[in-house]
Amino acid sequence: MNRKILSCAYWTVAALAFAGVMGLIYFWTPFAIDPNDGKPIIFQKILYFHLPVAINTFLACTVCFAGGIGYLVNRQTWWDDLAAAGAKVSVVLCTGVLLTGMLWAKGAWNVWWTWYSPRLTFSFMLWLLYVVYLIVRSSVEGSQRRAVVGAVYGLIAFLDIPLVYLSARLLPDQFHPADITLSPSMKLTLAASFVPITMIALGLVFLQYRLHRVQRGEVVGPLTLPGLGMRPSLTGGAA
Amino acid sequence: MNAVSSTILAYVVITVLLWVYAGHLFLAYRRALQASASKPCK
Repeated sequence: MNRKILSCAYWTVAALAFAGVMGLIYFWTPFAIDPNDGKPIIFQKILYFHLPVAINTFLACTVCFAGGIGYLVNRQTWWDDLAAAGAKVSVVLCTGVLLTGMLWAKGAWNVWWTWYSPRLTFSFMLWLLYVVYLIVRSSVEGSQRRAVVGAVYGLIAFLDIPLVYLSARLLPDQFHPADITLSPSMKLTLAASFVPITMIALGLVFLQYRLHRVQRGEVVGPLTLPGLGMRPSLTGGAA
Repeated sequence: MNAVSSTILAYVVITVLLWVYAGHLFLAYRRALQASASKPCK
């Protein structure tokens, strides 16, 4: 099948699923009820996008980590492009996690930010680590040297992921509960919201990866995704 | 800021962030493809 059609179909399904989940959250999913006063907790609905975006941030960081290891083992440039793509997408997703988290905090506790939540602090550290990754990459000269520095830095930055995950379980955290109790319909909505967010996150990683390949002058890489018209269609056949 | 506006704003932030970034990547990819196509073959 034509790659452009596949790409169009992929992003259309992602957009429709995104809109569908929005409808599900708005029209179907009940509000969580505050056990203290019996009132609905409106901002709890932020969870249905906050959590999937957070999990997909981990996924993008894992892509960066795997790309770094792949480059150190194989020394092939496409691993480095994959690692850079993972890092860029993780910064965007982590920005989303922090912003929605801040809006949740403002609604729930009337503060925009608190340093008393270990998970919040480690999440901010994660964002900072990958922003610095991008700065370090852009400041190192020489393609090979940049790739090695990026790969090693990516491995170190990845160590923050277990800290983010385990911090709410191992350290006292009054803002992020270790476990969340949800009704079956809430669980269904949460599971459904993972579909479009994961599709978008994977699509973004592949788009970013393909962009890096083209910018490097390598139009066709080992990972050719449903996506994205190929060079021959623009050049009239010459690959 | 009340709970309703916080929640709505959170959804707007996520929607704009993801789709604007996707749009930016699409355009950048198209431009890069066109730029690479216009380069003479070695």
